[in-house]
Amino acid sequence: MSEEKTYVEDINRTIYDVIDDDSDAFKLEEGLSEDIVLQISKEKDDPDWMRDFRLKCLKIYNELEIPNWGPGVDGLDMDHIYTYVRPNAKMSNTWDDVPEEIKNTFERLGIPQAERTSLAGVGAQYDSELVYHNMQKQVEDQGVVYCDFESAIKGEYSEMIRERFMKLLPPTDHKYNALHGAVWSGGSFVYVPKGVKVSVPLQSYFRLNAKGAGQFEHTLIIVEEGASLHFIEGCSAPKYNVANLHSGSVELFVAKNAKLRYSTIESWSKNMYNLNSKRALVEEGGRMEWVSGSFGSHVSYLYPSTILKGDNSSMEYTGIAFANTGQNLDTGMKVMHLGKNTSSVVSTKSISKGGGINTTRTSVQVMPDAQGAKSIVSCESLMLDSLSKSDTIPVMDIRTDDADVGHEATIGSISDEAVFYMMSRGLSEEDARALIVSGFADNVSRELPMEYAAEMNNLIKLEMKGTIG
Amino acid sequence: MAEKIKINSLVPPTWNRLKVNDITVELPLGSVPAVSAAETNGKEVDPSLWQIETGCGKELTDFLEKNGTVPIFIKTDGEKLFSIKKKYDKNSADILCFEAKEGETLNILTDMTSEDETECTAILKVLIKAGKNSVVNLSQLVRPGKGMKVVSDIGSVAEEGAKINMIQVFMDGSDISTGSRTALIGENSVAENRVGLVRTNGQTLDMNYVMKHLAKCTVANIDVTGALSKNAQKIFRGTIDFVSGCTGSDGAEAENMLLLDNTIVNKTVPLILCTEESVAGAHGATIGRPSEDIVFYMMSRGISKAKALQILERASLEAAANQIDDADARDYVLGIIAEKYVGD
Repeated sequence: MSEEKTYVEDINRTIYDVIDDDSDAFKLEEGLSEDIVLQISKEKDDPDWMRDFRLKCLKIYNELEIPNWGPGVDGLDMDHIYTYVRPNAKMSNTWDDVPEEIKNTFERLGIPQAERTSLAGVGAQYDSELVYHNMQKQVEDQGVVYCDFESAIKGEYSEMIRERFMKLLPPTDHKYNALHGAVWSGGSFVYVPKGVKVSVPLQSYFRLNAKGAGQFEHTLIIVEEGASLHFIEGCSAPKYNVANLHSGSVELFVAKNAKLRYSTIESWSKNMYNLNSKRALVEEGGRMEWVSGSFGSHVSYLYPSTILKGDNSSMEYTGIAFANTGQNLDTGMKVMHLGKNTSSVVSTKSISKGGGINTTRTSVQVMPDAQGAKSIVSCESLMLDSLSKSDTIPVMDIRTDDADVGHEATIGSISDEAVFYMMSRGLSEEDARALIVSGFADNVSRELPMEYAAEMNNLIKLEMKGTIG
Repeated sequence: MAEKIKINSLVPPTWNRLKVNDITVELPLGSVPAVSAAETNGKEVDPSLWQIETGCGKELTDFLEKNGTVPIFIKTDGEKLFSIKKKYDKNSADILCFEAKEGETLNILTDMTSEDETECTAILKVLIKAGKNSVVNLSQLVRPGKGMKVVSDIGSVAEEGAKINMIQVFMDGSDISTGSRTALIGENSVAENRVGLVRTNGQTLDMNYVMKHLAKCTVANIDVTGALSKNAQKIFRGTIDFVSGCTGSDGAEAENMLLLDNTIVNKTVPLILCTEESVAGAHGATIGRPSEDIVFYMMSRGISKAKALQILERASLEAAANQIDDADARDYVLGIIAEKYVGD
C-alpha cells in the first residue's frame, strides 16, 4: 500500500511537462482538408464506410458554426493543428516492446505501476496512436474485450461497432463532433458480455506529446445485460506556447440492469483546447456513474451526458473543476429522463483561483413519458480570490407533473474562521486553505480508487501553491 | 405594422437547443400610450435622463423609441398608494418613471387587464430610481383577457441603503413576457422580487430577472411560486450577478412550482455569476406535483381533487400577494384573486 502511495505522492507538475523528442514521429501536414482526411483514412486502413463517414463529417464540420455560447476558442487555429501524429512505435502488449522514451513517460505518469497493482487492463495512447494495450488473462477469459479501436472496427465486433459508432454523438451535434468524426484516431473498444462483472477497473491513458497536435481518440464501451465495469480515463500533455487540441469522443451503452462507472482525471497542459464529448445511453434498470476531475487545459468544453432511456434507469454524476490562471473551464453535465421512474443525482464542485474562470453548465430534461422521474442537482463553487470568476448556469426543463426535481447552488469563499481555527492548531495558512479545498473536493476523491484520489488531491495541492502572499 | 424583436436574453447564454437563451416577440408599431401625463399628474421627460437597463433588454428599449413612446415621470404623493389600473382595448405602450428621493417611500400598484374578446398588445415599462435610504414598493397585477399579449418590463437602480420590493402576480388569461433588472449600486441596498403565477390553457409566461450586485453588502432575493396546467409553458430566468467589489453581498433565488398535469412545460434557468470572492449566492428549486399527502388530506375533508388543486393554485398567487407591504394594494390584489376563485 505504501508503495502505491509513494509513486502517486511523488507526482508533480514536472512529470506532465516532460517533452519527448518527436523528430522520428510521422506527421501529416497541419490543417484540415479532404486530402488530410483521406490520408488519415488510408493510414488507418479504414473500411469504405468509415472513409465515407469521415468525408461526410468533414462536410458537416465546414458547414457548422463555432458554438456561440461558451468560452472563446479564438486561439485555436485549425490551420495550425496537426490532426495526425504517429509515434515511431508499434502497438504492443508488453511494456518492454514500447520505445524507451515513450515507456519512460508512461512510467513517470505511473501507468505500468498502476496496471500491476490495481487495474485489470491498460491502453496507452501516445499522440494519435495506441502504443500499448493489454488486459489480464482472467478478465479476457470471462469474454471481456478491451482493444484498440482500429482493431475492433475490423474484427469480430465490427458490425456491432458500425451500428453504434457516432450514433450517440452524431457529427451534427456540434462542430467539434464533426471534426472528431473526420479525423478520429486511436481510442478503445470495450465489450463486457452479459452478466460479467469486472471487479477491477480498466484504464485508458491518453498522452499528447507533439507540439501543435490534436488528439481525437474514440472510446466505445458496451456493457451488456447485468454486467458491470469501472473504466478510468486519464490524460495529460506537456505545455507548449502554441495551441494543442483534444477532441475525443466517448460513447457508452449500458444495457438492462448493467452498471458502468466512467472516471476521468484530466490534467491537460494549459495550452490545451479540450473540446471533448461524452454520452451514455442507459437501458431499463441500468446505472451510469460519472466521476470527473478537470484540472488542466486552457479552455474546456466538457459535459458528459446521459440518456435514461429505460424504465428504472439511473445516473449519478460527481465532478470537480479547478481553474487557475489562464484557464477557462466550461464543464458540467446533461441528463435526459425518457423512461419511467428514472433518477439522477448530480453533484458538481468548482474551485477558482488566480484569475481562473469556471462555468458550471447543467441541463436536466424530464420528458412527458418519464413519469416518476427524480432528479437532484447540487452545484457548489468556491472562490479563492476576487481575480477569478465562477458562473453557474443550470437549466431544468420539466414536461411531466409526475417528477420530483430539486436544484441547489451555492457560491462562496473559504471561511476566515475555519482558517483561523486551523492556524490556531498549528497549521500554516497555506496548509489550512489547502486542507479546506481538499475537503471541498472530498466527495469526488471518495469516488475514485485510492491511487487516483491521491493523484487528484496532489493536483489540488499543486494548484494551491502560491495561494498565500 | 409589427416588428419581431428578441427580449429576455440570457447573459451569458447556454446551449441553443434548450431554447431558453431569449424569446422572440412580435410587437405592433404605432402603439399608443394607455397612461397619459394629465391623468397621473406626470410630465413627459427626456429618455436620456432615464437610461436604466431593464430585464427585457435593449431591443425593447429601441423598439419603444422607434414607436415614439415618450417616458412619463410621475411624482407620487408621499407614501400614499399610487395606482394605475388599466383595462386595455388597443395596442398600447407606456414608459413610466418613478423616483424616490432620499428617505422617501413610494407605493405603486399597476393592474393590467382586458376583456376576453379584446385583441391587443400592452407594453408597460417601469423605471425606478431609489435614492439613498428610500423604499420603493412596486406591486404589479397582470390578468390579461384571452386576446391580450402583455410585455412588462422593469429597470431599477438602488442607491445606498435603498430597498426595492417588487411583487408581481400573473393570473391566467393569455401570454405574458416580463423582465426586471435591478442594479444595486449603493452599499447596503436591497432588492426583493416575488412572483406568484398561474398558467393554464396553453398560456405562456417568459420571465427574466436580473439582480446586479455592484456595491458592498447588497442583498437580493428572487422568489417565484406558481402552478402550471393544461399545456401551459413557463420559462424562469433568474440571474444573481456578483460584480467584483461587491464584498459581503448576498443573493438568493428560490422557485417552487406545482405541476398540475402531464401536459406542461416548465423551464427554469437560475444563474449565479460571480467575480467576487466574499459573497454568498444560493439557489434552490422544488418542482413537481403537489404532495399526495396534502391532496389526500384535503380530499378526506370533503374537498374534491379538482377543488384541492384549485386551492393550491390560488395559494401560489396569494403567497406573493400577501407579501405586498401597502395594505390597500395588498387588499386590492387579494380581492381580485378571491374574485377569480369565487366559490372556493
